[in-house]
Amino acid sequence: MITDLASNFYANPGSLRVVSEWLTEQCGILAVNPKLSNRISVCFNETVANLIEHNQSLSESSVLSLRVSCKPADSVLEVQVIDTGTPFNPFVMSASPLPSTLDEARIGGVGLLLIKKLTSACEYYTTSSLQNILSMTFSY
Amino acid sequence: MASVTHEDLSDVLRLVKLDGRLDMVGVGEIEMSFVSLAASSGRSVIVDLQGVDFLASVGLRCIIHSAKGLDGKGGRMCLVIGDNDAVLEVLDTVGVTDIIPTLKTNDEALALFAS
Repeated sequence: MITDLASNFYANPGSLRVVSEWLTEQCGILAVNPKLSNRISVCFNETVANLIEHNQSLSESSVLSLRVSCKPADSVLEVQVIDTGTPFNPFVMSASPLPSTLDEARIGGVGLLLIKKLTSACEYYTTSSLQNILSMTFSY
Repeated sequence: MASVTHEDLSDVLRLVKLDGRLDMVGVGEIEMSFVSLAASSGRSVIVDLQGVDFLASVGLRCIIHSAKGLDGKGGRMCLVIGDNDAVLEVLDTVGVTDIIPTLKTNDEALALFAS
């Protein structure tokens, strides 16, 4: 059985929090374990925070979409964040190496690293209807 | 709602306790107070994260920024996480546990600064 969930929300921090908490509730209903649920929430937050902070074609009233597909038979859960702003593939950026000292640590730029390390797979593409989709897959 | 409280344990050591959800909203609520408490004095600082429900990179940014500021003033920072596995995984994933001592209990943190 495939469970599909969807929600629209605005590109601002308050709306991100509301939908993030909704996502965590849905993970609970789907019996996703707490560790994976936190990973999903972290990656979702990083994806949307990146859009809010860096995609200047979006305003705080721009509508974003979240889609979740859960395929228990394959032990896979896919989370998609969809926007209609200027396309920007964050995965073309290389993640910074891990710092070995506090001096080396960068103050920002760890969101992408979290997404890459906490997902099983992630990809970014733009559809023919100009929707930008960042897809994250989690195995459990 | 995120919150920050503190207690000066001695002339050279401060305990700063963070609670709640450290996402964009939560960090907006505590950032100024936290940076001021954690990085403005020369005291070394124990940052207690046991009550943090959720930690995003915006929260990491705040912690690293404060740790660097404190380091520049000659102080040191350590983190206390208790059994908060969700927070530990985020800290571990981006290498923060390698650059800021991360301990289970406040007693371990006190022992670190006593040594």
